[in-house]
Amino acid sequence: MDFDQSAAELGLKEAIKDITSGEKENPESDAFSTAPLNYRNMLLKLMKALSPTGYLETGVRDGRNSTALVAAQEELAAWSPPIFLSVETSSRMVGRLLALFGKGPECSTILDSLLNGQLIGSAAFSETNASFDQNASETRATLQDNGYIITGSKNWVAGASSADLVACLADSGGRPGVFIIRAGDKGFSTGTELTSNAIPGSGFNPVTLRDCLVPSDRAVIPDDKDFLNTVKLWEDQILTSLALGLSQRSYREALSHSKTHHSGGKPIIAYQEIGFKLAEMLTLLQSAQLLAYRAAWADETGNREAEVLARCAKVFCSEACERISTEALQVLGTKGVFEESLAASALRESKFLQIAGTSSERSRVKIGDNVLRDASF
Amino acid sequence: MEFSFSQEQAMFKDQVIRFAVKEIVPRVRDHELKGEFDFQSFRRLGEFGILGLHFPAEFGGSDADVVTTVLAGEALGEAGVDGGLTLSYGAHTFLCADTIFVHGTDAQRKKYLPKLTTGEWIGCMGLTEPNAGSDVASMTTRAERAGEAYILNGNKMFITNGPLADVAVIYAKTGKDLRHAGISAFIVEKGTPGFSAGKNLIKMGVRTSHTSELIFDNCMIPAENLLGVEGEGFLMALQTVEWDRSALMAPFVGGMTYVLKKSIAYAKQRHQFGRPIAEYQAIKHKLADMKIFIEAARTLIYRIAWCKDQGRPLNHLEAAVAKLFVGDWSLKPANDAVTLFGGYGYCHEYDVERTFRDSRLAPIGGGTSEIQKKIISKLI
Ligand SMILES: Cc1cc2nc3c(=O)[nH]c(=O)nc-3n(C[C@H](O)[C@H](O)[C@H](O)COP(=O)(O)OP(=O)(O)OC[C@H]3O[C@@H](n4cnc5c(N)ncnc54)[C@H](O)[C@@H]3O)c2cc1C
Repeated sequence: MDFDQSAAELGLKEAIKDITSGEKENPESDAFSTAPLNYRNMLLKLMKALSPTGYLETGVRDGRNSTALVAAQEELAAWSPPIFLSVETSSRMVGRLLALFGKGPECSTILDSLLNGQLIGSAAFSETNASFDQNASETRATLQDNGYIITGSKNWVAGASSADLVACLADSGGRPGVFIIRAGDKGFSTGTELTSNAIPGSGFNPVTLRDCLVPSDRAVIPDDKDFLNTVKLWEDQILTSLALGLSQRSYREALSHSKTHHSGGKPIIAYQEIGFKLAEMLTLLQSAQLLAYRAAWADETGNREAEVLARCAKVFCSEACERISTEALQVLGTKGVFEESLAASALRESKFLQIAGTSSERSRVKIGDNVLRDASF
Repeated sequence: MEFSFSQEQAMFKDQVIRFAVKEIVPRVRDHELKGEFDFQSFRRLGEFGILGLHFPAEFGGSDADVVTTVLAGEALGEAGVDGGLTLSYGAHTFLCADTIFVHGTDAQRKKYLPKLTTGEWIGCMGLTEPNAGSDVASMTTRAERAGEAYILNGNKMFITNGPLADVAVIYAKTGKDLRHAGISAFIVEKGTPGFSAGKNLIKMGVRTSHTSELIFDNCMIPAENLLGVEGEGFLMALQTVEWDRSALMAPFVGGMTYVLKKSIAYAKQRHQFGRPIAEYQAIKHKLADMKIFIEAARTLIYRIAWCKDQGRPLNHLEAAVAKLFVGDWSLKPANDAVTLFGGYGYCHEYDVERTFRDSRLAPIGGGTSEIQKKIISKLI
């Protein structure tokens, strides 16, 4: 047992700090950077800077989470949630799919480019009428001589319009597979950016695939039947770290306001109504952090409880984020109502966290199933 | 960060669970119903080595580290030992015996610790007063120096093991008009003229631990019963906070694992509408919330224990965070368990109503949730 941050954790976290401290704070709030092309340029620049630190490839080739990764993710997520989400989708989702299930040189070439920060990947998994647990995809992949023909539509694809390639989930003769589509491929198109109240910047788009040909060497069809569950867990782990970053933003903003804003001749933190809220927020934040780190450690070490701990962390951290952010808004008072604040966006995003990946409801059912199956109980 | 236990620690936890399931748990329901202290189980805790786990062997202990000690507490809760017995153990070992061990003279240690670690004697600690709870420094119990003696006058309130204790660590004011700096700690033995205990208070939970007022009416004790030096009592009380936030909290968290196990077993065997209630999403959600609480809470208390093992000074912020979380967040899963059992949950024989009542102490005893928030808000 050791509750101090290890050299690996500190090293990766500091590397992220070094990179982001030279950048503008809250870059996503800048209208310039939210224009798709500007966002893409900013993202590419950051990914190139991140690549030598080892951040992009951490946990990609072995598919494992780690405490060092969470430490760094938390730092990046607190700096910019949309950029964090884009980077993570590119490396920890698409990168891992290629590294662990991809076969052939084309997959390795793409993977290298993703991890060098030269290409941006996004993941097109969700569909309006499909549920990950039951019918994973209504999009079809039909094998022909020269590759797979993909037909269908995807929705809520984060960063689709700024990505170089999209990893698209489709059903191939009853087996789920992921097909790597390049932005310019014929038959592939992204729809108008969806209006979303969460994660500004990266943008969410619908994606249409009309007889889109994907060469076989860009098809990833894992033998592992459980691979979709694995992918969902990766997504949940990313969202858990995002929850930590967002919670930190809300807490810090409220704390700073409570010390500088005066009422009745004293800083508002001096009132129990405010001071106690901040105490509850910090308690939730620290509890969430420790749980997320322990879940990551469990995954890193192959602990038998790794999956259930990851699910516990996802539910707890995303719901803690909502509570922390709503209390932060209360502390900000009228400032939080009349001006856009970090806490307000974190509050909106906390809902995204509870819905995306495995929703809080589905996670709880899975945790319940897990403890009901667990012989040690 | 690294969260594993050593093999010895994990094995010891299993041993404690097996021991408690066999020797203590069968006696819990009966004692709890009657609100009786279980002397036999308390002594068995001593024989098994739990009462003195972290003390050196020369005082009857096992030199265990703090994490192991915390795991033993968690194991007792997990086995199904009631919060009353674990509270009695906590007050005895950490609030009384440990204070004598850390601040006592060699003579005091030799005199009291061997009897306390075996359970031959029962210890208690008196800090709270009828009119001084959270505001400890406003205590009015006084200890006046009179030659080679001190004379104690005043009352202590809500003292765990009060009516049973053979020896008490008592905090009293020696410095006139001083607040924290005027508090000193003393050892008072049962039978000392002028020292008496009130009746066992009838409580909502932790009913097998006996709680009472302690009365000091011109109670004369030898000057050598002073612990450490005058005016350092408050610091001594603060030092027990580390134990309070780790070893005393551990049985609460373990108790929640016990509740989860019972809930799982019940949900599998209870059928409604033609199938086990375990198949309903709403039931799984309750089980999930219990699991989430347990995992979040145990990491917080392990952190306090691990830091103490490293010899670090208490981090008051982290300690308050652990106490606040366990105190406030244990209530919902404890309540959920009662609902999960339906009507049976409201009845004694299924244990969940007991754990529900026991868990209600967590946000009050050893510093209320509000006081934890007060500490945190001062430190941030
Ligand atoms: C079963 C049991 C066992 C116990 N065992 C022991 C023992 O062995 N030894 C011992 O010394 N004590 C013991 N106690 C006492 C316990 O530590 C106190 O009950 C606790 O510290 C609270 O003090 P109080 O009851 O006087 O409440 P009070 O301090 O009177 O508090 C009443 C309410 O006011 C709130 N409050 C108080 N001050 C503030 C503030 N500044 N800001 C905001 N809110 C505030 C509190 O949170 C609480 O909600 C025990 C108590 C119980 C119930």
